[in-house]
Amino acid sequence: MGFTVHFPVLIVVVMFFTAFISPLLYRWARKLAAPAVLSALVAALVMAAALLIQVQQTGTYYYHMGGWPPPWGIEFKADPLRLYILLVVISVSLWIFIYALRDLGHELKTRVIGWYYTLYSVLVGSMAGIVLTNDLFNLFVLMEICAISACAIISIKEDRECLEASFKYLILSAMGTGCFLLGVVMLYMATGYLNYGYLYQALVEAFNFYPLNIFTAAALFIVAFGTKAALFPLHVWLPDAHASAPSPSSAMLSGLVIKIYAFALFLMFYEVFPRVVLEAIPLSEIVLWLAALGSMFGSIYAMLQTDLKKMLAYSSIGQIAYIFMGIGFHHSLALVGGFYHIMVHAVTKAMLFMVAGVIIYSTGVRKIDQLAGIGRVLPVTMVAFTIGSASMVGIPGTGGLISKWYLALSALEIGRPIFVLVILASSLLNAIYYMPIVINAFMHQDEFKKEVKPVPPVMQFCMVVGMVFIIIFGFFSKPVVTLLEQAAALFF
Amino acid sequence: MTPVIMYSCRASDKLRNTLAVATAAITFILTLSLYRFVVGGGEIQLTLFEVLPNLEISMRLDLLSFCLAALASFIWLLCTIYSIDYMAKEHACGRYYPVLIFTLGSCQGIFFAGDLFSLFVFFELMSLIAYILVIHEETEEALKAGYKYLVMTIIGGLALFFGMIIVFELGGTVSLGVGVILHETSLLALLAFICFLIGFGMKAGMFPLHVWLPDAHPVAPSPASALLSGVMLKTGAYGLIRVIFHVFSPEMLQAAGWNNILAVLAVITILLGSAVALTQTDIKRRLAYSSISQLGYVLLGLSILNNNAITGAVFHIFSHAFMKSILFLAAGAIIWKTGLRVIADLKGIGRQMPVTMGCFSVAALAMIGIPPLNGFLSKWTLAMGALDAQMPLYVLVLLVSSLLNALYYLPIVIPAFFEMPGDNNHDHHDDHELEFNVQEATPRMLTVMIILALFTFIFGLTPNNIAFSLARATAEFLLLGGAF
Amino acid sequence: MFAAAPEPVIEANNLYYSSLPLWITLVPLIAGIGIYLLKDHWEIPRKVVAFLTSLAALVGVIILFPLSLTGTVSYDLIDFMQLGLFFKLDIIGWIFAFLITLVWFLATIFSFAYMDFEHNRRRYYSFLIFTLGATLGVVMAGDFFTLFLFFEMMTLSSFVLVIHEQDVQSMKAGILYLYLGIFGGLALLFAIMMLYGATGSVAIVPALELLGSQRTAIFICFLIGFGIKAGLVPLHIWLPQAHPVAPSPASALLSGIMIKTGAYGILRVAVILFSSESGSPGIADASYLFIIGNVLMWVGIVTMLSGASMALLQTNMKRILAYSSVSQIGYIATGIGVATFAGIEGGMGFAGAIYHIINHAFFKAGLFMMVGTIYIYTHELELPRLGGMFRKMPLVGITFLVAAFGIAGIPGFNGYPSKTLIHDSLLIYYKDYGLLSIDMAEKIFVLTSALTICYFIKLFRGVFLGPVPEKLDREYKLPFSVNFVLALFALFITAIGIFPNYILERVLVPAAELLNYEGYAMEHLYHFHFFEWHPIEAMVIVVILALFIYIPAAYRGWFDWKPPWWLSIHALVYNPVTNRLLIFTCRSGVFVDSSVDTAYDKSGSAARKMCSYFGSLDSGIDKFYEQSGKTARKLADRSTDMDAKLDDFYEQTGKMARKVADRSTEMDSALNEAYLKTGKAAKKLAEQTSDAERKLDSVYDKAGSKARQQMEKRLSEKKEKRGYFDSSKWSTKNLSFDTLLLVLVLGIVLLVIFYFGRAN
Repeated sequence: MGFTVHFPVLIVVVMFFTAFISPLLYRWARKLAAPAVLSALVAALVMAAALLIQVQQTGTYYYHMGGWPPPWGIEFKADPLRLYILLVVISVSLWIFIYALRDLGHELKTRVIGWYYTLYSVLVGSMAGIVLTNDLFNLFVLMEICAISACAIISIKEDRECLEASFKYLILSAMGTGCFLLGVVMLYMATGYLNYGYLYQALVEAFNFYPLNIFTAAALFIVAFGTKAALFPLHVWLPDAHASAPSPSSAMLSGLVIKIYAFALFLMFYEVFPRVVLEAIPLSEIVLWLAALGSMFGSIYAMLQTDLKKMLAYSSIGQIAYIFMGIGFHHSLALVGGFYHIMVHAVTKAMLFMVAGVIIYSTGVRKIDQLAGIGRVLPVTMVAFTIGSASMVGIPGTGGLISKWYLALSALEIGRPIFVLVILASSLLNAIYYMPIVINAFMHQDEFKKEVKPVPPVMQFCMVVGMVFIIIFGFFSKPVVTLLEQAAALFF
Repeated sequence: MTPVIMYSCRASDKLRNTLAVATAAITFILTLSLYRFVVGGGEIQLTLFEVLPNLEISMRLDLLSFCLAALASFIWLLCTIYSIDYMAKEHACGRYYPVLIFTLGSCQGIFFAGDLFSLFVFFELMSLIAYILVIHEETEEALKAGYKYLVMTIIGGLALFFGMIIVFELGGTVSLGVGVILHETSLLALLAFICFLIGFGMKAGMFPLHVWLPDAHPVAPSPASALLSGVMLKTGAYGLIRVIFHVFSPEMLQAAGWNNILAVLAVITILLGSAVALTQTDIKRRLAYSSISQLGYVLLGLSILNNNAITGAVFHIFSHAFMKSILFLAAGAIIWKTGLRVIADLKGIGRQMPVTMGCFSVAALAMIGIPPLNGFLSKWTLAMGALDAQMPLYVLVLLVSSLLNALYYLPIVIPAFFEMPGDNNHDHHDDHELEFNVQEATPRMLTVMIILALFTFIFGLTPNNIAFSLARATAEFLLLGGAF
Repeated sequence: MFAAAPEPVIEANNLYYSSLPLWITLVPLIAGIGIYLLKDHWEIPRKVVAFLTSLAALVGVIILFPLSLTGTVSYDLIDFMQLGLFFKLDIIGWIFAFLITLVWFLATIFSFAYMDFEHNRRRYYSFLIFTLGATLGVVMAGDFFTLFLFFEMMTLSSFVLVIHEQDVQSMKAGILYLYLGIFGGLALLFAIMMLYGATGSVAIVPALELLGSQRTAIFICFLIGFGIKAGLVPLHIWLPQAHPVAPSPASALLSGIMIKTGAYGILRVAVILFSSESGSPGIADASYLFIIGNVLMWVGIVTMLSGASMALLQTNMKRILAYSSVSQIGYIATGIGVATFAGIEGGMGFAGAIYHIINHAFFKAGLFMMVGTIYIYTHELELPRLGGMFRKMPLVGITFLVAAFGIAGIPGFNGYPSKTLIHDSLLIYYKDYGLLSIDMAEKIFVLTSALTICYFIKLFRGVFLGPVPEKLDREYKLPFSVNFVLALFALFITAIGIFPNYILERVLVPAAELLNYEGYAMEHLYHFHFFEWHPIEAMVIVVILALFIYIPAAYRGWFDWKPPWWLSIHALVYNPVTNRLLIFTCRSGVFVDSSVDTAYDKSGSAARKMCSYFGSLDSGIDKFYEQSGKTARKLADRSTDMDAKLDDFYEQTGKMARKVADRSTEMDSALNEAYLKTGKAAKKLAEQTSDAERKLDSVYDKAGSKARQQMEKRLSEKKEKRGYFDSSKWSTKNLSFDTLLLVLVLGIVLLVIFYFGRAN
């Protein structure tokens, strides 16, 4: 093991540390700030990758902060699934950050960019922490950090809409956290533990004595994480927040942040609540139906939008529903599908927001109906958009198909083909709102009228990377899928 | 084995054209070079890589693949040659040619696909790329038709996906190389069958999923419409063949009576296509509706599921490819030269463009099923299949539709040769403007049409011609469960 | 190629293999295409090629005579079109082939003269020769498939001949011809397919027993298919339109030859295909054949009568002849019908039918060419505008008279023996069966023959007798080829008429023997004497009847009566039926198609509506909350109002207090006065205190107003602030909604969980 033992906590710490130094660097050695964050991200990425390799060889291991063992100490857990999510989080953040380097100057005032770096690092660090932690209280703290930093990277733009949206986000996410805290309290009351593993065992017994507490806690968890991850009826904050934020922030929020909470809910279901509880009450069922509704309504709302970023935001609501479906099916194939979708959607949606950012950067257009003919002037960008939408729809050859494949397969496996229909119907709806944009962009008779700024190569590079990855996910999905199958097998 | 060749060359028009033709020619030659191997009974099943466990991109070569691939590449070659002159007047050639060749590649990919998944991948690829061909004109009408096409295609694709996933769930594989995948009937299997029917039927223009076809085919540039109608529709029929023989088995379908679904739809498709074609006034729309009814023949043959019927269906795939390509190319030549699309305006065009209209007439007669031409032979074989299955009703349907064919093709052909331009009953004073002063189309276009017309003769006349014997062999191969 | 013929064998029913039939068919087909390739102005080579080709065909057929007389010549092209092309020439086919080549040869020669007046000669000759090949193919076909193939070819190529003029009328006629031809072809194809389905072969062999339950359908389809071509009523409608509009040599061929291919087909089907394999059908089959034969006979009878009556009412020369053709085809069909229902005894009807086919070919082709000759010089087809041509073209007049005698069945001309045979066969079978229907048929036969004479008298009178119209009064000089051809026809007609037994014995009897006819009828046939009183008596009756009809009718002008359009079979049956059918197919097709289309459209728009409905629901809730927000704001406003009111209230009380203070001051002054009385010192003191009091008062006053000002200032500041941070624009409204939603969802989830938890 050696030094790598400390990697779980180091990842978090490195990010937080970077958060502290980056504004200082920005003030005194402006040129060093961005490379510092970058190198921190790269370091985190390397550590995560190293951990994953190691875990695959030696199996899951637990890291005890300061050597204090649970149930009192803080515990981090490193299993393949968490590390996979971690890897996705860090690599996508790295990628978005590279994009942000160029875009931020356009969207933000210069003086706050240093602070933006701070917030970005904090956000990544807290997400990493949420993924890795094995302790409810720790989770709560990190969630708060994550929520605040997420709000801040919205409101940092300092215009009216952003302030409003972030305020809304803040309140709602605070309420979500509140629900969560209540739930935690109830569980603690019932069992006296906060560590996942201990809770899992203790709950089996406590279930006989305090069923109501545990039910309420479960309900509170669903609402808490549902709010944070924008599960269908609790999504109201998302469109405003994601649409008004600066594009890199939107990419972060839509691509990663909401998924972290979905993953946290997954952990609650599979690592905290024992099987007895889940069998007694239809938790999965609730999630499943909300997800089904969400996948339809997210797309329907998206169809009605006229603002490009708003449409993308609504589309996220539909897509996150797939991930919830993967959790709700309660089947190993579904987990594979759901988690594959976490990765695919992270890349795809982030790329789509980048595309939106590039369009705004170079033409200033946000409205969908003004995009006619834009494919001729921004070919690379719009090709990226095309591939992104193809992946959203699930055209073969893109990653979107693979996750849908697994979700549909597991729906059949548990004998509920109706959900296959839901998946297909929402794919169709996706096609209906993505395709016209593509068509208009390339095939419209009229020339694009507005003036066009050239797209910086860094941005183009980022989009190309996204495209390449989407296609790689579509064709060479086997290693990831194998990893996920192994990881999912641990839960069944 | 699959020359999925993409290239785009913006250097110069000439270079681009040559390259396009060369690619198509190479594809054709490569495909042909497989002939000896295939006829010797050879099969190849080749896995390129696994996308998912048990789900791979793989290639497969057998008689059926070869037949259709050879056909497709041949028609493609001719249409590409034709395009050189046709597209000279058009815009956006830089987009047209790469897309054309890319579509060829994905089409070949469909025919050489070794499992349903790769079939599906190439199918979607082709459908989506072909969209660009459909809307090439970029007019309001084209865009509308294209949108319809796209939505329907995506619905079809999703249905296919559903069907495929059910098959995978039930059978554990989607490879076409393992013989029959589903042995037992069940509700899910029926669902899968219906999904395949929707997915492939959509492409093949089967009722009631045909609505995109009469809009999409006429608006495309003519060589593209020829390909859409002549070849790409066939991919749907091909998919159905694969599904019927390699996923399900004919015996099982017959025992379960599911083929009757297909049969009923096919009959409606045939009659409907012919009847509606009668009322069209735009020449290309008429041709498009005719395609619907002709594909109905193929589907009918597939639903009957005996040796003669399958032979007829496969052979009709050949003959219809040739006939409809001629018709669209000839119509294209006329539109290219005169700009006229309305049938009533085409009186007397046969005098100005005798060769073009001659080819058109040959193809039209073949469509009607006049004996020495290939259309007759396929109808005959199909009818024999129907009679073998004790279904004289199908024969009647075939003949009624032939009669309707006559009713809508002859009013194009006869006035073209035997009436004077401006013979219209309504006497507009500007009738004289309708008098054409046009020359024949360019030699290159004519050559293409003549070659195709010759083939309709050869396939009709010569005994045991290559197409027919291939079709016969394919039918036997399929019915003997040759997928092992 | 000729060497392929093997050594002749005397025995009957030999099989000879020879490729000659193929070449006979192929040479004209190739030559036809070849002629089209010749240049427009190469008149001579074109004529030479046409001449040589038709001559070669004729010679070829003649060469085959001995072979076909003694057996069957066949040739097989295996696997042609997967089904094989099979030529077979027996004596029956040979008769047709010979007729075809001979008449074609003459018509070709006639065309040389005739067509010099016409346009587009290249196309004409090309298709003329091509059609020859196709027609020969029909009669030399060894199986139904080959037959069908050439039949279709013939229909298509003769279409071009029909519409040669390309005027409106001929286009109309031609298109009708083509559509009916294709319809017939498809009926034929259906029949052939069913035949193939039932027996597994398409050979023309006796197969009555094998046909099974579909035999009626097969028969009807064959009858429709061939009947259209032959012009049987009611399928004849194309004929009176198409034959007159074609150029005369072509109409001669159409009427003289091509309709016979239909008759030929019916013959093959009725007499061969629908006969027993073993020679004598069982009782059930025999009665079936009897029914079929009767049907066929009556179709023939109806055809002959209606054709003849229609011919009487025409005034256009060629139309009369066309209707006459319909009528004559009726004779032939009657003969075939008789032959069919009589089974193996049917030799007489069979011989009569074939004999009439031969004869009709000669006189009808001849008549069309004669009429054509008149037309080409006068450009007139209407009887009332013609007359006196006998003087102008005596040769045409004489030959016409000969042909008319022939068709009328005057003894000594060729129509006589064939009509006699058919008539006699009717009589014989009436004797045998004693059926009323046969008796009726015989009576109608006689009547029709009389009508035939009537309309020929009318035609002859109209064209050749009477005064010459002024316009046409000039010299006509006919070329030799025309004279030659017409004379040749007259010669044939009289030759056959005078020596009727020659053909009967040399050709018809072997043909009948080929089909194994036997019994009394055959005996009768072997020793038939045409020039006895008994058959001649029948003709005399006919002639007398004809005179009785013609003289009063002509006197009263009955023949000039034009049947109204609505009475015609077009108006009564075909037009409504085809129109309705077409309209029905189109409408239903379009209806289904468009309804599917609209269904898609509708579902699309419905889905969109639903989406927008959901959207509006969303915004509705939004609005609701906005409203509630507004009310909340109003409420807040109200409370501000109340605040202000309270303020006022306080102010009021302040004022009141001041007033009270004023009063007390007054009281003070009153007290002062009272104190004034008590002492000045006290007064001074009081004044001082009141001064101090006033000063204090003003200080308070000032402080109060200052405080009020400050308050107002603050209030206005507050208002400004509110203007900047307007709560309505601050979207806390959504927040309240969201919070509510959150609580709601939480509640629902809790409810669900508890519900299930309790149940657990």
